[in-house]
Amino acid sequence: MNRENSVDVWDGAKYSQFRSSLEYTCPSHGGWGMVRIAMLIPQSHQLFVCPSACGRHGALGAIQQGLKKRLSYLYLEESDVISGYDDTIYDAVDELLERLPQRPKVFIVFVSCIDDLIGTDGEAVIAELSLRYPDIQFRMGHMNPIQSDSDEPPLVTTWKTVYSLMERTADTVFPAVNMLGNYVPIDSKSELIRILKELGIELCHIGNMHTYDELKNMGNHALNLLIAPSVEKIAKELKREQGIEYLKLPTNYNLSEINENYRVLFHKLLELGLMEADISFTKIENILKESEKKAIFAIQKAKILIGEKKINIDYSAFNNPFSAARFFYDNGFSIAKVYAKEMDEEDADYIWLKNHTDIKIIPIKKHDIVNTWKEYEDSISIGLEAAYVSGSRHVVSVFQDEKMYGYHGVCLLMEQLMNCIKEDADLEDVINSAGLVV
Amino acid sequence: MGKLCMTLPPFSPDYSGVCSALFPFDALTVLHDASGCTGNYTGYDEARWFRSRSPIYCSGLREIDAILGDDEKLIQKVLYALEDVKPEIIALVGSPVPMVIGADMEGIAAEIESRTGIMSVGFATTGIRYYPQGIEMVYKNVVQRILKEDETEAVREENTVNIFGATPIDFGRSNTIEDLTKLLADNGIKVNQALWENVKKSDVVQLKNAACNIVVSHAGIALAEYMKKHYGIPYVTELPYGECYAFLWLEKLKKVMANTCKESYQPVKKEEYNESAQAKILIIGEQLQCNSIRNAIWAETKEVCDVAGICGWDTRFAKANDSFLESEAEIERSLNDEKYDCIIGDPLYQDLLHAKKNFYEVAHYAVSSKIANEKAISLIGKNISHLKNLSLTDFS
Repeated sequence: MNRENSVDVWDGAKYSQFRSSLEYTCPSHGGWGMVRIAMLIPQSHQLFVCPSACGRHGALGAIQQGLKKRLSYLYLEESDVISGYDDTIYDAVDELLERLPQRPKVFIVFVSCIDDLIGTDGEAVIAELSLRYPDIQFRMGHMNPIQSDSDEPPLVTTWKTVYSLMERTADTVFPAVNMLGNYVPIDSKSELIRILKELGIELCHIGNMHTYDELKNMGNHALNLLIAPSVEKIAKELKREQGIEYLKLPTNYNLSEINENYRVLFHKLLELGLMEADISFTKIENILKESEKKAIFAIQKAKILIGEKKINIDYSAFNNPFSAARFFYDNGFSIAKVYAKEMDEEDADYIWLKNHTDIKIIPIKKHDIVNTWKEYEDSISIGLEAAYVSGSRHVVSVFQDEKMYGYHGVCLLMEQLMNCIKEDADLEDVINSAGLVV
Repeated sequence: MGKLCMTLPPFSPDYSGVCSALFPFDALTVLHDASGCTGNYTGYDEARWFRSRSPIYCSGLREIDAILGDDEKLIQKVLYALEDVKPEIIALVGSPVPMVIGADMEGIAAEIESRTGIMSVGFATTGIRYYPQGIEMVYKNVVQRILKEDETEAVREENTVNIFGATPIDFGRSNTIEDLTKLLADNGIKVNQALWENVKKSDVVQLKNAACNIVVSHAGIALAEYMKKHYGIPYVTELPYGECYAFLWLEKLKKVMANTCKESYQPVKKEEYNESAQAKILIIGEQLQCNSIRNAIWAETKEVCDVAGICGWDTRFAKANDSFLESEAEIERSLNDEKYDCIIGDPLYQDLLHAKKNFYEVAHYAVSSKIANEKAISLIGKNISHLKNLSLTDFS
């Protein structure tokens, strides 16, 4: 271990300077964006109330994703900023509902950063609209990155908007678990789905809901399983206001922690009465053992194929890039750099990496990135920002652990790693087809 | 644009115009926003962003900074960046939040200039207006300032031109400006400066030595007027699209440069164009480029066309039936006007058509960005197969 080589951009004076630097925006920067996340709500329409500029990236992203027909804009002008625009919203909604070919079941009124300073009474707007159109569920949405350093950044508020449509109406809950926080359902071959099925429990995801009623009915399911930190706030609200239980088990690639997560899950299911205390675990244990064995084999196979090739990872690929880096390091892969947007000084994996490895931790948004990115490097990058900055020849295009969970998630990750070295990536093509929105 | 918009995406905003016009300069540019505005520009309005080293940044504005009006935080970030970036110019670019809090972008820039000695410029962009206004602001606040501060005499160089109004927001990744430069060179005319790539302050000073200015988009008109007034440099507008019109346009340019033609506006003389004829073709997009397409079609077929402009408009370059469209509703109405059986414009306008019409796609980056970028074509001079097919099959 060579501590001399470790990059300490997070440390001391330089770290504090990093925190207040101008931010570089890589061509590979972005993700799903608020529009696409809220589009997960079936039978919904979005109206963005903002200066026209604020809507450009979302609208073009929606066109790329084939979602634009469910997205409209009400452009604000200087006079609206001065006099407020509540009435303008009502008029726009009236007109939209007349002109839309299909009446939506859910209508989201999104406001942008400027509204945080203007202070539109969102609750009053929603109350008035609900009064006018009682057959439609209205919600406010906030596309306000100006709040990114608060406890209610846009991702958190958007998930709140989405999952607030779940409603507990039944006296008895259904034996089903909702997975919250991932944009797409986990892979259908996941052992989690098989195990729950074995227990007579269905695993649900909003991406599989085709109607508003199906989304609403998720409120009658027994448990919300949180796999990303951004949904914790809404899960707590749903528990407080509607009694919907939740359990936080973030995506993890460390095999022993995956095992531990399953123990915690079984304990919760027992507590909720979804598992019998005297149930024979043999079949479930067999599934777990078989899945773990497959994951170990996948890691070994990937390790042989990848060898000592350098791997870079970034925060866009994994909800916790430090935890992912530690997983690779522990399994003998040669992790070179972790590109992070933010850093939690108390994150155990970050601290461990910092103290025990010479992995470089690079602040991806720091201004000097513009001078340091490379055209070409014989390495692998997991995540497009890492790929752009390091110039990696091979690229795994994955966002926020998508489709990956549990032992099968490890297998998927290894499969993508092994596939990526088969050819050189055309990064510009990869970025364009990803439809990224900041 | 008017209020409600259901189909089209918002067009490129003023701050993207500023950043795009500054891109080729040796400038450290800061968009004063939280992240989304910068994402608009880098993700959808800047065709050159991939693998560029242009130091264009987001200030990372947060609510507390906005509420407290903490300009010093922004200044400190700029000073920190100057440890690694050594620009000739520093630019601060406004966005909707600075507009709401009344941030004095010009004042903050003046403070930075007084501390660093580097030319610093503030732009009160709002995200409510459109890209031509942003490009115009750069021409006014940066180019004109450099020219004003320069004390050297202009030395007129024969057969040299400047090109104003050229940014990829209009031309995407097409080879339009390269083809124009080549066409001019083939005709013995040298491009003195196009403000298109690798621009230094010392290059800007050379603008005043050109024999003529070429204005290729609405955004370049004001600078051309300024150069005409202060340096006596005439200008011609539009682009030499198509073979026949390229010939006429070049003739006009040569006459203007030789000072044998007083009218500096339209290469196609008014009396030659049958303005009263009923047009069956509508060309929609940036005004001067649409005019260029119209003239190319007229030169080959004597077919008249109407032009509908978006984002910027100058009545001096409009014909009687032309129009400036300021809302999606107005665009929809024009596209569906029964008198037009053919539309030329960005592919995304097709979604507003109620019935099928002949539609010829000429991508406009300010509208469809990279979605239709492969349809951004150069129509300069001989590279007109697209337009030629169009004219022969549909307009004759």
